[in-house]
Amino acid sequence: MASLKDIKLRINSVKNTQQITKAMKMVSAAKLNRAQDNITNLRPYAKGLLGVIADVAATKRVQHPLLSQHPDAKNVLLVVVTSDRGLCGGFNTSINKYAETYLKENKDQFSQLDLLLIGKRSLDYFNRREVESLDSILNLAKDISYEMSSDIADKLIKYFLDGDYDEIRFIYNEFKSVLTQELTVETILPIDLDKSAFDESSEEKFSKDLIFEPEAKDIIEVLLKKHFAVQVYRILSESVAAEHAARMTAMDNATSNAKEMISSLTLTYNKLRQAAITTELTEICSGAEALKG
Amino acid sequence: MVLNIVTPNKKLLVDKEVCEVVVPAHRGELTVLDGHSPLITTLDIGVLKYKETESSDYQNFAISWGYCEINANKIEVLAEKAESSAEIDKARSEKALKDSEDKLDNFKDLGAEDLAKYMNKMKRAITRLSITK
Repeated sequence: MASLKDIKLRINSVKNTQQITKAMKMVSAAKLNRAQDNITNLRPYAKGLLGVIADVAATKRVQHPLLSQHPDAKNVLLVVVTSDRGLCGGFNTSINKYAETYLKENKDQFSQLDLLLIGKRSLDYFNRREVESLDSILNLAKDISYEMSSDIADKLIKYFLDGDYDEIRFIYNEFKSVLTQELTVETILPIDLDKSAFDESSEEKFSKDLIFEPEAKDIIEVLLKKHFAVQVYRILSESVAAEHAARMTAMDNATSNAKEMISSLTLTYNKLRQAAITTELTEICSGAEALKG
Repeated sequence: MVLNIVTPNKKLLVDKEVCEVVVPAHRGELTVLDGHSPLITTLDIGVLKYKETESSDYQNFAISWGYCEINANKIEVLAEKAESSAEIDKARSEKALKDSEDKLDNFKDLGAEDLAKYMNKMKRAITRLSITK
């Protein structure tokens, strides 16, 4: 049986941990707010960009390599998005496990299926399993910026246009709400405009007599690249928001677990203390009785 | 006419009533007045300025890549970055200018990619400095 002193020590250490988890929860809550702001702030830009791409595409019926679909893609690049830090529940594990099974199941279907890892957690995971990856991008921990995402986007576009891969898919956690993150697999290259852009372009825009400067086909190239960068930024922002949400929930659970633990330990502590006092009293009483006798 | 400026980080101007806008367009500065014909152009690194009324002063923004759509007296500017003169960190821009100049001094050692990168960096720094006092 643990002594009173041991229990006291346990209680103190659990209290310390609780303080840490509480603080981490607060920090995540603040960071989550910022990440959510990022997503909301990006929307008007993304929407404007998509609108103008639709305009240009509708008036000029442009074709572009970035838009060309490959029905039977042979070389696929998987981009796995995780975080740099742990302590966020199942956030990273679910992604890594999913990516691993995806890799195993689809290996035969494609002639090439490579991984590009974003975040330290996936790098560690696949390194431990000795799975080779094409490249890895770390240090997302600080605020992700649009510049950084556009660098990543440029890299991916280069792979795609050089013909190394015919399809680029992202595996990431989509931020649904504070309590839920949804594991999502999304093909982002080639860009599929049919889904997103054309239902928004209305009839009147077709007849618009627009002046293009430079030529429409040059404009569309830049616009598509920017659109892609925005998509990458959106995915990374979603993932960061989901990470903070997951960490917040995990830390909230940890804090309440710690609270439970403290109360049960305190109960044991008090019982033990009471027992010690009772024993001592009985001893004194019986001692006194014996002297009287 | 109204002017909107949107960046990935925020909406900078929403339906701002203006009388004259000068944008750093693909082929040099482009001044837009009331009743301009519909146009889509990309924007280079440069200064975007607008006047609210005929007599007011120009408001300046340093812009790095973007595009501009003019349609029915509405100007939509989407820029990757747009900073007003008040937001610009002068010391940082000066440092960026010096850094890129140092790099470009030895331009023979640089690859085509790096060369473009530092040229752009220098251009951005010069633009920023041009609208700060």
